[in-house]
Amino acid sequence: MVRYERHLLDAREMEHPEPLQRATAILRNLSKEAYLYMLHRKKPLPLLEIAERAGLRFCAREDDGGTWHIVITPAEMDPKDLCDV
Amino acid sequence: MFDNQGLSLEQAPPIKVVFTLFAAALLWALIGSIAYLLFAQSKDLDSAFFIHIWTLGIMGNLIFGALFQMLPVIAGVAMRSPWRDTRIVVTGLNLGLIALLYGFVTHYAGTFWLAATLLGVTLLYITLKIFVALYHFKEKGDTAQSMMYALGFIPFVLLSALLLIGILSGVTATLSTHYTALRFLHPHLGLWGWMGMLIVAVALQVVPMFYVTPAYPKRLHTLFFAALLALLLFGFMQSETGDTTMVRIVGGALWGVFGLVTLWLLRKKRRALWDASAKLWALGAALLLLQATAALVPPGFTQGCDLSLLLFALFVHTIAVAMLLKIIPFLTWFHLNAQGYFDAPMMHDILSHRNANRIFYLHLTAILLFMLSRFVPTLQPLAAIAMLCEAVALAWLLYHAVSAYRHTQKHGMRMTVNG
Repeated sequence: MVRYERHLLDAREMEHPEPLQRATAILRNLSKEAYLYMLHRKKPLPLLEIAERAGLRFCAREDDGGTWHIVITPAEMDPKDLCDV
Repeated sequence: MFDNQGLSLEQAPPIKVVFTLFAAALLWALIGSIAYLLFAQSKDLDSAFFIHIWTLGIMGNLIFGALFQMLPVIAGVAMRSPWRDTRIVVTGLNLGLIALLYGFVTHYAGTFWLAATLLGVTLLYITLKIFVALYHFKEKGDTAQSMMYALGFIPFVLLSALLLIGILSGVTATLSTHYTALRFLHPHLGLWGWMGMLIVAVALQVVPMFYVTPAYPKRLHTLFFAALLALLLFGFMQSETGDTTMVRIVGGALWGVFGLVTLWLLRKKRRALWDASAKLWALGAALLLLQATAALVPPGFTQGCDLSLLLFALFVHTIAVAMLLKIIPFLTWFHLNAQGYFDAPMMHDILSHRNANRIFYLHLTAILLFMLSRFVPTLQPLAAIAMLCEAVALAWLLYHAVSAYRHTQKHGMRMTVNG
């Protein structure tokens, strides 16, 4: 099984708009074997739109504690397989 | 409740919509502070001249610029044809203001009526348009609801202004017995109602989102609106008999409570770091506590100046500066990023923490000097210079942001992620 590199970004305590800035900075340098795993207190709509426009795939799920788990991957990966929730 | 997730790329208005209105506001800030420097001491100009530069020129342009920007972000509503509406607002609001200022200088009734027509038509048009957009939005949250409450005050601000112009020009002389009541109502509807309620709307979303604080108490906005409405109605009736002391005290206390809640929330912010905009929100909340205290001071002790209302205006101004420091760098970065310029300047490239803090201290100095100059008139030139410096700093920020935006569009690398 291929092991992909996870870039974890815990944005739960970051002030607006730092999560978006940091996430796009990671996506900019994302290799084909890596993906972004983000924890956020909200579903980051603009980030997901940016990812979609750039041809990336994403999965966004909320856990029981109200934390959003966002996985953004290159088109070759399935983000659902990489989401912990 | 509608829980908004941020600015949608599809719904975001073009950057020129917001920046054109901000540029108009900052131009009035420069004009206002220069006029204050030159004429405040000579008493050649009525205080209404300066007040309306602030309310319509600075705050009017800023508020509509911020509203066009924030409607999709915090209320989930996108405006149709925002650029056309921007041109209508910029033209109507600013020509109307010029006519009004000319009226204050010449006291010629015709210019007041021209101003009333331009301002009335423009503000009613844009208010109605935003109100209808919010009304049709199905998932109305607390913020959208509060915005509707705030917008609801505008027609009454305009009506009271029209009646005042009518009385002063002799057209509605039969209403002149209500002059004192209208003089009380017009500024309070504008400041407590329109601008204050709008800040409540913005705060409900922005304070928890920007500074990671707990949420404001549920239904606070509705209780606040009901209390304000009752208070203004009572104030109108009271002012017919000439004594509005109780209304001012209760109103001051009401806003003091909002200031206290805001300070309490900011104390609970998860991050220890206080950036300039968070400091400005805290300063604004502190000004609300001060205005509540000032409302207890009898007018005889303040040389005829409504100290409480003046402090309230400074609260509004402080929150406006807090929002400018956030919105200008964010929009520049956001729009470039959305266009695929991933080498777009980051927010701190547009406004560093150090420069943001400098603007904060400049603002603090300006409002302190301004307040002191109400009691020590010799300080007026110094206060005007401080206000001018702040206006120049904010205009520089906007200019710097526009330059960086244009530079990136011309020379930046457009690419896709992972491309």
